[in-house]
Amino acid sequence: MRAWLGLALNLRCGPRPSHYGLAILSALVGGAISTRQVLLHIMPGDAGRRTVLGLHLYTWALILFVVIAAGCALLLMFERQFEAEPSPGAGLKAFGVAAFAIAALLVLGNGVSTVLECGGGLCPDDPTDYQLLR
Amino acid sequence: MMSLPFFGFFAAFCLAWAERRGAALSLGLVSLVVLLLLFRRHATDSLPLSF
Repeated sequence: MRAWLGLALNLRCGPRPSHYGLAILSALVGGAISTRQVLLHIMPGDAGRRTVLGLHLYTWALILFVVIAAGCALLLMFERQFEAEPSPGAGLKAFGVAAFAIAALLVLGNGVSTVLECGGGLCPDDPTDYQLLR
Repeated sequence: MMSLPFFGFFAAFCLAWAERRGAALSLGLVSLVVLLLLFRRHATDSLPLSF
């Protein structure tokens, strides 16, 4: 979701290298955190958490972060996108508005669920329930 | 406290919608740094690796 901010800026303010830079930086940070979580459950016999298509969610997250970083790097190679004068907000179609709104609401939703799960402090290492819903 | 980066990014989305590009980029970067600092304090389990 963090990486979406750079792409959302592209949607709203026109493509800029700095927007891709933010998306790549966010993907790198997310990838580093995902890698650490993957390593936490990498030993044989560690059942870990639930899987989707045979892979843990942390592994999927790592794959997606790599894809996002690689995708942004590829998009940066289309230099003609930076030649036109950006026209903020112009031509933002319904699909773009929907994508922007969904990304923003998912970020907000994650923030609210984190407050419910961890309260005002640090989250426990292995949370099993929501502190504010006990 | 660990929700701070999420709310920071949400505020950055709002700034992006308001076309305040510089502020959105700055807040996004600050939120990223806050996320890293919080993760450093949160991730205290040692990795079960041996070589």
